[in-house]
Amino acid sequence: MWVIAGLAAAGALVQDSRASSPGASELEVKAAMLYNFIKFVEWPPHTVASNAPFVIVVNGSGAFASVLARTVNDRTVGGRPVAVRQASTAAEMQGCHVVFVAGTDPARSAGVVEGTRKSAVLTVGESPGFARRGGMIGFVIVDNRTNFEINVDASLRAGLKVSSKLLRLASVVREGE
Amino acid sequence: MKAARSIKAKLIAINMVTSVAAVVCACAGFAIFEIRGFRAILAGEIGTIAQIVSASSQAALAFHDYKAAHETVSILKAEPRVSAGCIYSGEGQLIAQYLGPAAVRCPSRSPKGPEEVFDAGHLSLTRTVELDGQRIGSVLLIASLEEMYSRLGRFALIVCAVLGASLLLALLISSVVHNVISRPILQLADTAREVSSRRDYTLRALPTGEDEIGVLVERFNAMLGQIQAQDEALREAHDETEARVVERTGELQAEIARRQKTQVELERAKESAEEANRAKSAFLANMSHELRTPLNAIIGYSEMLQEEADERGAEWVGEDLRRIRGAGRHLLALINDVLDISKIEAGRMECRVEPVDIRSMIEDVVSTVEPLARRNGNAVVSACRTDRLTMPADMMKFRQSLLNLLSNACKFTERGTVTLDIADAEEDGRPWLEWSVRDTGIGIEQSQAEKLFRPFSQVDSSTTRKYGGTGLGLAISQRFCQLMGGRITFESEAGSGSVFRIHMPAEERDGQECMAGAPAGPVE
Repeated sequence: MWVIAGLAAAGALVQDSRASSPGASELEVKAAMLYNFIKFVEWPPHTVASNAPFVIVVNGSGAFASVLARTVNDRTVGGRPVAVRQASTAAEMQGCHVVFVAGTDPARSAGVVEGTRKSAVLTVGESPGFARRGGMIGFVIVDNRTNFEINVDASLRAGLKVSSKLLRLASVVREGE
Repeated sequence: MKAARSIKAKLIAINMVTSVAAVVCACAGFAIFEIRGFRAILAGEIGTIAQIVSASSQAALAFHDYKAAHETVSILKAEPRVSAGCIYSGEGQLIAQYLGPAAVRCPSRSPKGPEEVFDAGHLSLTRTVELDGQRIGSVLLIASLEEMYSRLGRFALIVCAVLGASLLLALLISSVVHNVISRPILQLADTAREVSSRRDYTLRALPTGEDEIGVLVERFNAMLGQIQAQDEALREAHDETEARVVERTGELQAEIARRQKTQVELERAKESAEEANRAKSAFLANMSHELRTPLNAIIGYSEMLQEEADERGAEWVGEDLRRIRGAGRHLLALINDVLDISKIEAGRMECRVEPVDIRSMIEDVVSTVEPLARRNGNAVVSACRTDRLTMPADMMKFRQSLLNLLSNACKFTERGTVTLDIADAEEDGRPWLEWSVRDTGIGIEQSQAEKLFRPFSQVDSSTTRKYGGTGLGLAISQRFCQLMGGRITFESEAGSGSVFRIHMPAEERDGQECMAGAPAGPVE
């Protein structure tokens, strides 16, 4: 199941018919999904300058950062290139559009969430209950399949609009559930 | 009424064909327009649905959420026109499908691009699913064309109804209107029939307006006028001819009658002439015997008396008796000649052909004519230039003819020479003999030559008195030679002598009979 999903994901990203690389790992799956998330989210206009690249900040996993970097290499979103950075402090996360909190540490997740509360930043995490605790999109594994939960309120608060198409695929959660 | 039926039928047919053609063309046009319109609309609507499905399945395809894809495609249940909906991944593999009640399946691989394909029963419409400018999958909807066909079916029914109605209408209108065309034609046909059956060229067809048929009627009438005029002229000529024929026939008949009468008269004349001839010949033949008997007595007794007188030395009686004998002989010769000629002309002269010794004949005639020749101081010479020994001829007759020529030669020559020459000749490839008698005597003038062989004509009467003779000799000789298959020819010049030739066949021909009834005639 995983392998097939991974293959499909890789194929969806690649426009010509090159055979997808075998042995896609969980990291690659999440990276691909993360890249696709961006296509289904609308940022407020003033935060998205025309030519500036999309910035994804990865917090807490150098491995994921490099996988993500590889995945989004030369890809665009809405015609704009995507850049991947690593950061650990709030200051370093300034000016980004997406933050990925790697790892399962709930404290770190809460810290990042808190730190980006005031800005239009999409917070994505993989710790359990990430979405319930204020994060916007949280990866969950259901039946060996990578799924995700979306906290719509949190995204609305940040001024982000998540497409209903994405919402349909996800489990929508409310704060505090 | 054949003409009426055909024209009516033709008009009806034309009308109906025209109507049918018009209706069919119109309906075909509308049908095509309908179908295209329907297809376009269907494609548009299904295309819209496909777009919606495509948009809805973006996220499912992006995140490979096949359950969501399946949910998306299942909404097609609400659209009865869609028989199947298929969602394919970016590689063209079937991920989710909706199959309606119709037996339609999704193809296992996606068609390439966005396209609309109409086949017999369905529209297969494909749209690509794109996310942010990239193709992540495709959606194929298969819509049934059933509705279109049912609409077309209703349309066809309407067309048939319209067609039927228009055919009926065409039929009705033609049935009524055809008379406009066919009545004048029928009238014309009737007139023509009457004219030809009654041979009455004074009839005319009724004029019928100014269309083509009217023109036809006019011309027809003009033609009848011409025929009428010709017919009358013909009649006149015929009558005239008849009259003339009758006249000529009468004339001819009169002529024939006249000629027939003439012919009858001529025949009668001929018959009586022939009869007279025959009677004459018979008379002569009979009488000759009567004549000769006393004549022989005269000659015989005068000879006897002359001999006795000579014995007794009574010369004064002898001379007279000689004269009596001479006259009697002359008379006998005349009678013999006349008998001969009449026998020949009656066709009763017989002759018998046998081989005659040539040299004996020469000797015989020369010696016979010698005394006569000497009387005029002529010399007789003979020359036989043929190797033949005999010749087929009637001995007596040939001798008589030859002697006749010789004695003529001697008579009409004084102190000259008479030459008898026999030579070979050829005519028509057959061997002949020429017996030529040449003399150096007085000759014969051209003008007299014609009458030479005619009976009873000596050259002139003075000749008879001077030279004696009966005037029948040459005629008889010619007839004799002709009987034997030959003839006599001559050449002469007044004052320088003549040559008479007997031409005789040197060899016997088929049969030994003489030429029967050889006709008399002048011979060159």
